[in-house]
Amino acid sequence: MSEVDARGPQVDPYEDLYRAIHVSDWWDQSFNPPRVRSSAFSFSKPFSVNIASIIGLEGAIRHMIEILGKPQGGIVSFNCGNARTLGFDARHEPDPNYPDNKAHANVYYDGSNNSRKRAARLLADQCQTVHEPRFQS
Amino acid sequence: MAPTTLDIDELETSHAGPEFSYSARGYYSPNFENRINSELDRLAALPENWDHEGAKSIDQAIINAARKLIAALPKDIAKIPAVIPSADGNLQFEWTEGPRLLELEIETPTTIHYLKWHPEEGIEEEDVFDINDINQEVLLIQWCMRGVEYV
Repeated sequence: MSEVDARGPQVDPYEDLYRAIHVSDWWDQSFNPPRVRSSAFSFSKPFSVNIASIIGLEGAIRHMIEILGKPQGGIVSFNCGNARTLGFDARHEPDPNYPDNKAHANVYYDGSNNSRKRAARLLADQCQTVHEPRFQS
Repeated sequence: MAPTTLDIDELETSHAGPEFSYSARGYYSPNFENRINSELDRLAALPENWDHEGAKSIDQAIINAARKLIAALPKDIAKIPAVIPSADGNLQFEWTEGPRLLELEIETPTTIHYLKWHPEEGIEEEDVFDINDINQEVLLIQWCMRGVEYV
């Protein structure tokens, strides 16, 4: 069985996904308006998101604050289907650290490393800030 | 902490070599190297799992390569970049200047993976080159800062 086959079920393309921006390095405060950096999406391992229709925005904020312990973090949102066209495949899979979170999904980048940075930048450009971080500058 | 953009001065930076030369206005960035090295110290101290998603700590060989690269750049070439850790255990320098964006990711101790980005001008360039190619690094940084003037 291939690595792709071993993944959990694909998230439906119409779903919106929440990415918690709880690392200040992922947030570009020098840009106007501030925006998420591509480095929040640009690495070889999958990254964590929550499915918006399951967790809701208030639930996602609560998860970040109470479970992750990151009250200063923010949340950005992007569409699952649009991300998939860039090579980012969202799979509904549990978070081993927080198995009670039924909204968790992993996003795998299946494109070439030669286009990874461009894909991550395009994904960052698609993001909408739904809860702005409050990192100390 | 996001780096602070420093005062810009009307300096002239110049360099000449047998195969490459340029002249361009520079950025007055006091303590450029020291400030970036402080950021590299911060990244070097990140523990494993600093992103709560299994991130690697930053490879010391990558940190060393980054210090060497910064030390090799011409004086006053640029404002202080953001110094960003990657969950893969490497790091990148990132400059934005208006709509222009430049990411220089030190992907391995010997290679830079860069993104040169200005979609409004149709520029979405991504490639890899040898970290010792200082001329390439200078050209990319100058493109982001103010553009290059060949002499």
